Amino acid sequence: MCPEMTPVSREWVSELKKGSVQLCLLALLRDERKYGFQIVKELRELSEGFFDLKEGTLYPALRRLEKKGYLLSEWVERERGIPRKYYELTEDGRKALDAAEEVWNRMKESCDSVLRGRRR
Amino acid sequence: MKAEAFLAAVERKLFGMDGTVRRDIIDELRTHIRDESSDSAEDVESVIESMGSPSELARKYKEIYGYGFAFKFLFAFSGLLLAISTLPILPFIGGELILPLWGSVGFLIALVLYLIWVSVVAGRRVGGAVGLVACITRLAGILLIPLLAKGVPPYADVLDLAAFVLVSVSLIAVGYIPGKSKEKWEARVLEG
Repeated sequence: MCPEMTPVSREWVSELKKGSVQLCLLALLRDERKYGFQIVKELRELSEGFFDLKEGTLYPALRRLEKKGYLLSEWVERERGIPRKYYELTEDGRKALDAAEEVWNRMKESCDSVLRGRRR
Repeated sequence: MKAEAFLAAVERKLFGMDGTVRRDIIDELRTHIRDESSDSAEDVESVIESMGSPSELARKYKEIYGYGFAFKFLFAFSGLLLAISTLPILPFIGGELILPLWGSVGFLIALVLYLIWVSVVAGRRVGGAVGLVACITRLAGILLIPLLAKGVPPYADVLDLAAFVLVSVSLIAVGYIPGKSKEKWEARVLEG
């Protein structure tokens, strides 16, 4: 991130991030089910700290996606330690992810073209 | 704040939500605190800090799940009782001494205030639904009571009846609009 950020652009950045974080959460669950802390860690690591989501935001966000029918959750017992709540993608979630990813790619290309100021 | 004290505070703030969902949320947060504090060098205090304040956290969950069935029922039932009390024909059954005619106006004001309150705390959907219950109760009351109880005059005046119906129907909007406005206002605050 830019070191010198005015308050306006910080707001703007959080606005830009807000739209993409749902996409990232669904993408992290594409291949296997995961539990909350695992998602927090992977999101932080894979985005190299860009998506440093507060836990107080992440857990409700997962619930919201579950309520929408994109995720399914299940408590899984472990041999050692307390059980964990795992989230997995539903069929609807997978469709939403594919569609959103397509939009994301087009948006990225279109934005890049505009930023460069010429037609592709 | 230690983990259990924090979780207890969150659970208190989730009051009114469905019990199963509430426990599920608390169990998940507890797992997270243990996972994160044992995985990293972070102590429990800083893990809890990253979760935000209990009331802020609880507010997010409440936005998603809303009130549980028991509370929704209670809201609707109280609305029904208040709506019955607003019927201007009750004095003819109970006598002017028990419920004077102007009392129905007092109860109507109370019902409007109650609907605004429900709409703000429980959201536009619950508020609108309780308004609908109140509306149906009033319409059913004004039509059925003269048929069932002897000596109660039916609402003969067409204008009176039209005003009564108009007030009853507008109760749905009274229950719906405050919650909707609150939602819009909060969205604007979040956007900054």
